[in-house]
Formats: sequence, C-alpha cells, structure tokens
Amino acid sequence: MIKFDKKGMSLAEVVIAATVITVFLTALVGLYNLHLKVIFSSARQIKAGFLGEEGQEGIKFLRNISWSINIAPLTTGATYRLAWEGGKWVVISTGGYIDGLYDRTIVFDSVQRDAQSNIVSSGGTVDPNIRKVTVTTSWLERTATSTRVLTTYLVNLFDN
Amino acid sequence: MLNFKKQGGYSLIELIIYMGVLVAITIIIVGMLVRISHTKGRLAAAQGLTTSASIAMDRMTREIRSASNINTSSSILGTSPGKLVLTGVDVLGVARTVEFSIVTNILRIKENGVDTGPLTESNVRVTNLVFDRSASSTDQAVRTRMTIESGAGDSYKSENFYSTTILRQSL
Repeated sequence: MIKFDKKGMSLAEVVIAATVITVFLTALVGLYNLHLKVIFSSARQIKAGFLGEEGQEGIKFLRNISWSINIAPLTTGATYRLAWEGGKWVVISTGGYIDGLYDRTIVFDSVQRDAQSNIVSSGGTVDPNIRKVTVTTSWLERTATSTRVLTTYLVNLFDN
Repeated sequence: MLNFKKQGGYSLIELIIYMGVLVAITIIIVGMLVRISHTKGRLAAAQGLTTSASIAMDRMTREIRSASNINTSSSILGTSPGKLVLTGVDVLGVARTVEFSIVTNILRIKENGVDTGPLTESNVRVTNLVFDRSASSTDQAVRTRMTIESGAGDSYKSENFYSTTILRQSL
C-alpha cells in the first residue's frame, strides 16, 4: 500500500539533490577523461621507449666499431644526440626534434671504481674503459614535458 | 489503496524550477552518453595502434637481434614497402630464415618460407615500412621505420615508430 501524506520535497532539498548528482557526474566525467588521456598517450610512450632503445643500440654500434675513436673523445657530462648520416648513426652535439616532437639526448658520464673495483659514485678512480650512458627521450604531452630515461653502462668490450 | 492527502501540492514556480533542474541533469547525462559513444571508436583505434606497434616492433627487434646475417639480395632495403630477410640458426643449430614484409597494409612474418601470421591487427594499416642496413667491419645493424594508421574521420590516428637493432650473432 502506497501512502502519500507528505508535501513532497522542498525547493532546498531539490537543489541539494541536484548539486550532489552534478558533483558526482562531474567527478565521473573527470575520471573518464583521465582514462582516455592515458590511453591516447600510450602510443607516444611506446614510441619514446623504442627511441630510447634505439639510442642505446646506436651507441653500442659505434662502440663496437671503435671505442677510442667514437666514445673516448666525447666530453663526459655533455649532452649529445644521434643523427643518421650516410647509412650509419653518428654522434652530434645539437640536433632537431624527431618527428618535430621528441628530443633524444645522450649523456656520457665517467665511472669511478674503488680499490676493490666496485663502481662508486664518488671518491674512486676514474675507469677510462667504461661510461655510464643516459638516454633521455622527452616530449611535450599537452602542457607538461614527459620523459623516458634509460641508463646503461657502456664498456670498452672489444678493447678497440 | 492510494491515499492522497491534499496539503497544498506544488506552486507553479516550484514546478518550473524542478523541471528546470530535471532538464539540466538530463542534458548533462545525454551529453555524457553521446561523448562516450563517440570515444568508443577512438579508443578501439588507439588500442589497435599501440598493441600492433608493441608486438610488431618487439618481434622484429628479437628476430634481428638473434639473426646472423641479412639476405641483402632478397630484402628490399631503404624504401617502402620494405622487406627484411634474415638468416640464422635456431636453438638446435638448424638453419632458419625469417622474413618481414607488408601484405595489404598488414605486417606479416614468414619463417623458413612459410607464412606464420600477421604481426599487426586487422583494424590498423601499416602505411610505411623502411629497413636500412648499417654495416661496419665488425657488425651489422638494422634501422626500422614504421608508420601505423588506424581509424578514420574523428578516430583517425597515425604514428611513426623507430628502432635500431644490432645483429648480435654477426660479431
């Protein structure tokens, strides 16, 4: 049995209810938009990942040819980039953006070892046959810059 | 049994305000539904693109890395649509060839001359695929450039992917 014996909702109640519903919906839309943003940016993330790997492979290719010619003369701590010239990768200081969006920089840092040959961040002696290579791929994602950083140790493997 | 006790009911002003609130909420909900139905196509296109790119690039990287040589006469290098024919040996030491090529905008892989399937999804199109060979006295590397497109109209998406891989066995 349904019994209506009240006056119904007051105006204040309706306004409060509507506000609650609107706030809830706005939050839901915000969450959905965030979800979309993540999915639409994933292609750029994947691309940046491959660009970083390509940077490491390019450097290894140069290392395989000759450590003393291609790697040893590079200034440690300086920023370099890779360019494809004449069918091979070459290290350059300044370069343009890849596809007008991605900036891939490569930094070679010297590596220090202690008396037990363990790698230490400071206080050791510099090992001339190893570099810490940091490949950073950065791109503008809407208003903020996204980066993907890959770090590896590059060794004078072939003593060349 | 329904029992309506008349206690004044709603005034016209109240009714108009309630209806206004109801209409406003309905507009918001319908707008949301329209948006969601529009983005469904864009989502499918974006997901097809990222999945295809990951699978295709990962597979090519792995095969190039484990190959011992590039069959330069059978491969189409430096131009699109490219073809890459790799030679090497499998884990048992038996000779193995792997071929990557484009068939009607789909990247396909052949192992020992037999087509073993697509590497990109059917809802995306590989519109550009270039393999460059880089060789030094010590080793070889392959630079891969691939463009994948998906969707149409509002949901159209296109992205270039790049990778370079050294043939580990050729050293």
